[in-house]
Amino acid sequence: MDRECVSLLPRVCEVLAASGSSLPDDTILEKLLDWFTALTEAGESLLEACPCLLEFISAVIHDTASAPGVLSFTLRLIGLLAAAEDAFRILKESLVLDLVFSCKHWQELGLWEDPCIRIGWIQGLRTTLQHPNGLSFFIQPLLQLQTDTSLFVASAANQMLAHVLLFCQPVSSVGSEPMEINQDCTAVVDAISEYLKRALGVPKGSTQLHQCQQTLRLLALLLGQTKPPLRDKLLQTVTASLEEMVAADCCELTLPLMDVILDPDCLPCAPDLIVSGILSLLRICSGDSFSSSAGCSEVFRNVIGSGKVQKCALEALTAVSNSPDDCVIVFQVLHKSYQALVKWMSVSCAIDLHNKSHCLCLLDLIQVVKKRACDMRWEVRDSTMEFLGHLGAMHVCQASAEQACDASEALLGGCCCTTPLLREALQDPESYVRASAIKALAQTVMHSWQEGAAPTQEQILSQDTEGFARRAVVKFFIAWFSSHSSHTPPSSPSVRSVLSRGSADLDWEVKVHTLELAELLLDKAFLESRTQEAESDLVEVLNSLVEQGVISALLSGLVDCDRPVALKACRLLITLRVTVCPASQGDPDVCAATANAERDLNALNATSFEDHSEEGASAVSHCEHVSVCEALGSLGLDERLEILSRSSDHVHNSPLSLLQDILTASTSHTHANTQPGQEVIVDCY
Amino acid sequence: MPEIKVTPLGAGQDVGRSCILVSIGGKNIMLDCGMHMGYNDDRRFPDFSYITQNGRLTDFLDCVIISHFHLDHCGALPYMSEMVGYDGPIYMTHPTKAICPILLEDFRKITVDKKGETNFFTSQMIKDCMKKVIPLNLHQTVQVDDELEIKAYYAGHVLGAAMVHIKVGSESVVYTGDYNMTPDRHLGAAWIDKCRPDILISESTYATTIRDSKRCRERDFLKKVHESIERGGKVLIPVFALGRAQELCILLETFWERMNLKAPIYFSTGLTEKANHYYKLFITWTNQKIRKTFVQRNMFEFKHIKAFDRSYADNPGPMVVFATPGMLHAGQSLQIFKKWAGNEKNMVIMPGYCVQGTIGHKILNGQRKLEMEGRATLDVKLQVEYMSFSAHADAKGIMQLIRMAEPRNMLLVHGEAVKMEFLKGKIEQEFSIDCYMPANGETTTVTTNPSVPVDISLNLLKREMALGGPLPDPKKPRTMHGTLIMKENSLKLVSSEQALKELGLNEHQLRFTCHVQLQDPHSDADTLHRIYTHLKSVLKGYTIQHLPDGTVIVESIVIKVSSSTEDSNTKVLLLSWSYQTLIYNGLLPGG
Repeated sequence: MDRECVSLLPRVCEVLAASGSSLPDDTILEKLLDWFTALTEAGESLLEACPCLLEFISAVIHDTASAPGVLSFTLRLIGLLAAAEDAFRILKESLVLDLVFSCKHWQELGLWEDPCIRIGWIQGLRTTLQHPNGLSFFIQPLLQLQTDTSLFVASAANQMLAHVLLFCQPVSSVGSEPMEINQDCTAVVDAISEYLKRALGVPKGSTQLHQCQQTLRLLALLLGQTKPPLRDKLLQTVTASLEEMVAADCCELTLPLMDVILDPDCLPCAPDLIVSGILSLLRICSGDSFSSSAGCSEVFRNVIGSGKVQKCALEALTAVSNSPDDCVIVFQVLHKSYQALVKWMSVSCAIDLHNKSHCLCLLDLIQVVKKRACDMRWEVRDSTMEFLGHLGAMHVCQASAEQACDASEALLGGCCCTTPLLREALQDPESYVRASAIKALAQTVMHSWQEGAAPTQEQILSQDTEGFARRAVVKFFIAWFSSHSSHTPPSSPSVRSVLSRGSADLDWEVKVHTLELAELLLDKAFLESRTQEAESDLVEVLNSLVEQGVISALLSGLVDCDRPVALKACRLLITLRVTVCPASQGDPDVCAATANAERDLNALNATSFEDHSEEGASAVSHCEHVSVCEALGSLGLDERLEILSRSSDHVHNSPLSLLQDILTASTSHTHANTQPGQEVIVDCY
Repeated sequence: MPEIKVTPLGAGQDVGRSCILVSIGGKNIMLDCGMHMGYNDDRRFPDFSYITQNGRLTDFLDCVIISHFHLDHCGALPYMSEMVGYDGPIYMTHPTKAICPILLEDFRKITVDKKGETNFFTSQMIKDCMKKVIPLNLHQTVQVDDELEIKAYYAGHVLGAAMVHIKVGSESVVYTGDYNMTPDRHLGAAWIDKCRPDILISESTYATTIRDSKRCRERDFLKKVHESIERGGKVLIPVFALGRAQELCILLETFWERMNLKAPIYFSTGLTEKANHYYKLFITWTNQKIRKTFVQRNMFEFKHIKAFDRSYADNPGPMVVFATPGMLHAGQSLQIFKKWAGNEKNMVIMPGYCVQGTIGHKILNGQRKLEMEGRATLDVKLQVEYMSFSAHADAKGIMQLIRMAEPRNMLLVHGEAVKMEFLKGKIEQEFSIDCYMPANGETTTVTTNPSVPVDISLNLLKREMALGGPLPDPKKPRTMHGTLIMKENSLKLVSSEQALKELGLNEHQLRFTCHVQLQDPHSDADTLHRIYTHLKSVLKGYTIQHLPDGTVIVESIVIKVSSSTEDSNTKVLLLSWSYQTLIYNGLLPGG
């Protein structure tokens, strides 16, 4: 444990013991426990490291004026300490355990009514039960709390009962097969089984209903975690009651009963039967199917046009799509759900354009997509764009033509349908839709019919007010540059302008994506040069990177106030250093590139915020000529990487900071505030 | 008896994340789905496993209603709908639906920016979640399903904030969310119908406070900024993207205009543009003054407030900068703070609450030496100010709302336990209604007395009128006798003859008998005669007959006498009566 923390802890304990309800923040006790738990898990003995905790415990539990919140915290702390057998012994000897884990004690004080005492009690107890000492002793009060009026208490009691029972089922160290039930625990197992048997059944009245619900929850928890033979024993105990409850059809019990009975991995019957069933249902929903049967008319009246039923049906369809069979019938309902469509398309890749029914479906689909693309609701337009994007990303084999193409081209005829829709969506007033359209365009960037999209994209990057759209644009360029070779086509966007705009963006995620683009360009440049193995090429590569603005983007990223940007830039610069300055070969002569790199570094100096980076950069700018390697070396990248790899609030969210906050809050509180009326009121955000 | 159950998963006796479950008329509704900023793990979200294991929320909940865009009311929504899994309807007002994703996105970016965050929702999840949202208009009744209907009312507080009236049959609940009963610079006051809900669930942030007027706080704020600018200092105002930022922008903009000030005001993230766009779009949700002046001058088109570039922070001379995030825990606001902290001429104004573990929290507690990364320390010399601009109803406002809505029961959430206790006492005393304040995880159950509509047959009404009572008046309850029959899901009160006819049933009459023993040495006939004479003397005004077949009849009660087989002195009286004769009290001693 941090020595500074150890020295602060006694004072913090004093403050907490005396604080009453005036704690500076409602999270601090939880955070303190987090810290203690982490220390315990790291194998440290809390009592040895902080003997003051014992005094704290004794002070709090014997003070009748202690605040319930602090008492609850103390109960949990005691549990944490007592999880170690030696501390358990000490606490037992000092009679602390007997006192605090007796419900009667709290009832007599009139504090048991407060749910935070009960939750502290049970959670404390739960952490204590790490060793067989007194397991069965605790069972009865736990079973009572299982139906507590507080959801939190009842749920914790359930978890603890499960924990106790699992404790009785040791897993052998050799195989994963559980061994026989531990003989010491038979009393516990019997008590719980007996309880389950008694508590389950068709409820009469609301108290019994509540007990049934809670017991079913416990059972679900137990069955999910236990293994045979314990599991079999439990099932044997409860089967009759469960059957009775299912037959009674009590609607309040349906959900918890389902939790117990349903095994999510098991489908009730063959997938194709399910599929055809769902399809009939969907046909009924859209009014396509009629039956003369009298009983059906009632059902039809309720189901036709029901959005809920259609949604469930399509969800089920998506869920069973792992087993593709007949895609002909599927196509008739596909246009109802893009999601189901995409999912199914990815598993059934035989689209036969010569098949008449397929073609008719396709025409329908095109109509639907066109209509939905100009729907009034942005939600619909956006889903349509997302759908086109998904299609663009998918490769479908056409059964007739023997070439692979993307699905949107196959299904929606690429340039004649998809592209105009996407282009139009770039002007959509809703940024989500614009972003989805850009993303969809990026998916189709491989195709010749996408030429000419780049300038519009560049415009979006500089003008769109929304981060979503600008992020998508940078990703578009990543797709663009990774699909096009270094011989850039005439309509290609200017790399430099994309990089400079991207790294000056207000949205840090745009900046991160811009750095990803820079990474791509770096990789490409060095991959090409590596094939030739000449030093002059390295200079050329560096020069071109400087020209493209890659180096400038990296340097400005390095001093960015948003940590992910700085981290990404730092990693890239380290990669660059490794590539350009191999330790074994010494500095290559890269003077030619130096002047330009130096210019970038000077620019960095002007905008730099961080003091240490200023030093680094100005050290560079004083020299007339300096090699790239020296420049990179002066940035202190390794130290910076270490700092950036940690969370930005690691200093202020540390245990030390927490202890300091508790102490300062208490002093500012006792000094009755220098400025009256400046009370910091808990407020919404 | 039907019941309404209310269980807070959050905001029960605290001002944390609001999330309240209501069960009414067989429907389950979640009110708000907020997030707690004080934690870096799943504890920031409500624990939905208390509702159902395996995350089958859609099966359990009939709908989710979000009161307004503050993160402690909507911040867990994408987590709930996309990560835990909920596909049912989510309701919020139009402005909330527009603004909510901006704040969620802002918060996501701050959280991910901090690093070390796991299990957090993505941009795509926010979007997918918002697609499930159904927008609400004020005062428009929305039918969630055949039985459940909701209606939104104006709540003040922030743009788009709403109170909701939830109704199933004749039972109803009103949830206020956060509200404000006094109009402020850009929003009006909350208002609701006299809807007499079974329960009014109200926030109680300022349960014991009578707040000074917001004008005072605003004047104070402007004075402080002005003084700082005058002495050449720089003012940093850390804010979240939307909400308070717009309010303060309007304040400064007007002040700058009036005082003809030249110092630049910057907004750091460019977020104002979209936010202001929404304030313009939803002008009807702002207050009357803004709506009126809108024709001449749009209050949200700022002349003095410009976009910030990070290089400006080093510019000499005074300036005001709004920067995100609001608690000085990452990003731009923190970076500017570090730059300006060393100069005592500068000032930082914290316009909102800061959680523990942030620099905002530390400096508000008066810490002047901050530990920074790499063992460095930062001396905080600049002036630190806290100003709460939040718009909640104070104790007076809460009482005012109760008078408006006239609830049958009151339930307090979103406040501190001690303060709630005080207000609870006041409410129970002044309004004589029950007031509840459940802790998180505790269920409050209120039994309701629902009125069930019943049709009355015309014949029955005519008969009642023929009996000469007053004419039926819907405002005055009165007793009517008849037979209640349920046919095709509707209830009808008819005469018993009509009921028999409609249901095709025969009438049966029940007779009750009992035996009473008497010690009497006379003959059976004498005993009967003595009883006859006695009854005649005590029951004057009743028809009493002594029939020759050895029976006495009092109205419809038949009395016969026989001697016991064992003892001729013991007489057994047989009494037999139909149901209505029970009203002849006093016929038998003690009978």
